[in-house]
Amino acid sequence: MSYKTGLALAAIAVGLGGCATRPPSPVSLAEDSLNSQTGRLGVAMTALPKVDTEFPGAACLLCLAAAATANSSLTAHANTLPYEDLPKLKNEVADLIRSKKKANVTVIPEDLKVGELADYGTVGPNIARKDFSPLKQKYKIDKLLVIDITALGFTRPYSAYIPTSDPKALLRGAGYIVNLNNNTYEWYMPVIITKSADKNWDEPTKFPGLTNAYFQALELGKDRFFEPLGK
Amino acid sequence: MTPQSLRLVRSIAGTIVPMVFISCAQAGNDAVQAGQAPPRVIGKDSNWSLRLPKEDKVVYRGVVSFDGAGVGDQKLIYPAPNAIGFLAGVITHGLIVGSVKDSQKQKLQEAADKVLLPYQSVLGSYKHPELMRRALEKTLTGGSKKLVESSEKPGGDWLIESATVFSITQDQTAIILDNSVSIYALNVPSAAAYQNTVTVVSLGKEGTDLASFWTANDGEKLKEESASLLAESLDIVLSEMASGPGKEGIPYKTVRYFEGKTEKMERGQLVSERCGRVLIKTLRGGLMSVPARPGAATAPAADCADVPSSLK
Repeated sequence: MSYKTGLALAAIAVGLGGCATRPPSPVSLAEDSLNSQTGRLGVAMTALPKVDTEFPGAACLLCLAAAATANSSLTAHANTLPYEDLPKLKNEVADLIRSKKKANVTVIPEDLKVGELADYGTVGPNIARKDFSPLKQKYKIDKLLVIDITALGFTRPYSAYIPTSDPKALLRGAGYIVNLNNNTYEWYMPVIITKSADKNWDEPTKFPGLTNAYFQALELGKDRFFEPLGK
Repeated sequence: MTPQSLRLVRSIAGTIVPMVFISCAQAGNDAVQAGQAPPRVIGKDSNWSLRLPKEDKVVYRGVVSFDGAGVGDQKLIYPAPNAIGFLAGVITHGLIVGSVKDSQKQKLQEAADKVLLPYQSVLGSYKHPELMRRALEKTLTGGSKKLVESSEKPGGDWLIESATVFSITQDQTAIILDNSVSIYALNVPSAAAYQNTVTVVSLGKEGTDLASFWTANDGEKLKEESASLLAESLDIVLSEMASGPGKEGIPYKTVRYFEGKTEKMERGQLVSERCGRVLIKTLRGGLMSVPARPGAATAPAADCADVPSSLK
């Protein structure tokens, strides 16, 4: 995160702080939720985020600027890291569900833009905030499994100007299944993977320890998505 | 942002932050540079000596994870009668947090080391001369080889210095060796011809009372496994030196393996797969020999006699 980006994001965060919505509560995947009798399942991913750094706790403008400056070398390195085979995750998930659950699965080729969906009129437990129902007609599916990875790279917590931890590799997101007949979650699983570097972390410019941790986080994140779907 | 604020940002970034990070950065640079000594090619039948360290005690510790390390957010209001007072507050905060972080890591390591409690009597009597003598008998690379005292003048063509740290997994199913190796050509003894770190992960052991398994018969299993790991690490560096550089073109991949019963991953270049072992060149340039995943089809080898039976 550059110095200017840090300042801009801090200003936006302050402005929008009151608009933050609570993430949905986790919903376990029922055993009979996916099988050959439960209709057609679409599997989609949202666009992968830029591999970047974040500094939670550096809450004031100057704190965020100081954190961005102090970690600029790590940020520059993070921006060069590849996704590896993460874009293929939806295909791997689809293959896993086909083989384990015998479900009728369709992979949605394009990135899902959840933010562009209209808000759903009804609010309630396990009801998706966005209206996914138009996707039923569009993709000829009954349920939609979404892999939504929202943060990739490195996280370093701060207390104002001071880092309270070494940087760690990060993969954060959620996997969920929406029943398109009633717009409810049949599965919602938040995923947060953090991995520390073995031994030293501060090895500019290639940061081998943290880079290793980043690729470990990618693998662990994929495993986390696979785990409930492969039972 | 006002000019005063900008000056404050520069001041914080330019004064406090480097002070907090400079020691870590220096340590990291040293580590990277240490692995970049230009290797020379060693003949496969060369004679070599292994030098005993000055310290008798072999270092063992428990495998620790720092994934959960961190101090947590502390809401703090800096006393700021003026800019100097503010900076003093930030510096004090940094020193306190740094101290707490160090202390936390130390406590995590101490907690991990508790896995060694059943092994104290064995580890207390297992010294470097015995470890290295056993390991030397197991090595297969090179011509004649001998163990030399730290003060003794070595013979042969090459001298190897080895600094070992063994770790035992928390489930006690596996032992891991981190061996920092320096190899000197005896005609140029002033500078290491080759330096690298080799990590060797043992095969996971099955059983319910593994402490008894390792410590039975005065710790014979533990001693033999440790010596096998050391021998494997020496054979790896000698083979690496014999083959010379040339691994630049190997693509990077994330290799999965088991450390005991725990699945681990390492990013690196896959140097070789044979006899149930996988050799990786890590992102730091070190070498890592790990058990192949169960069921993985490692490249067939006509003869696996050069791999210790405890490792394959």
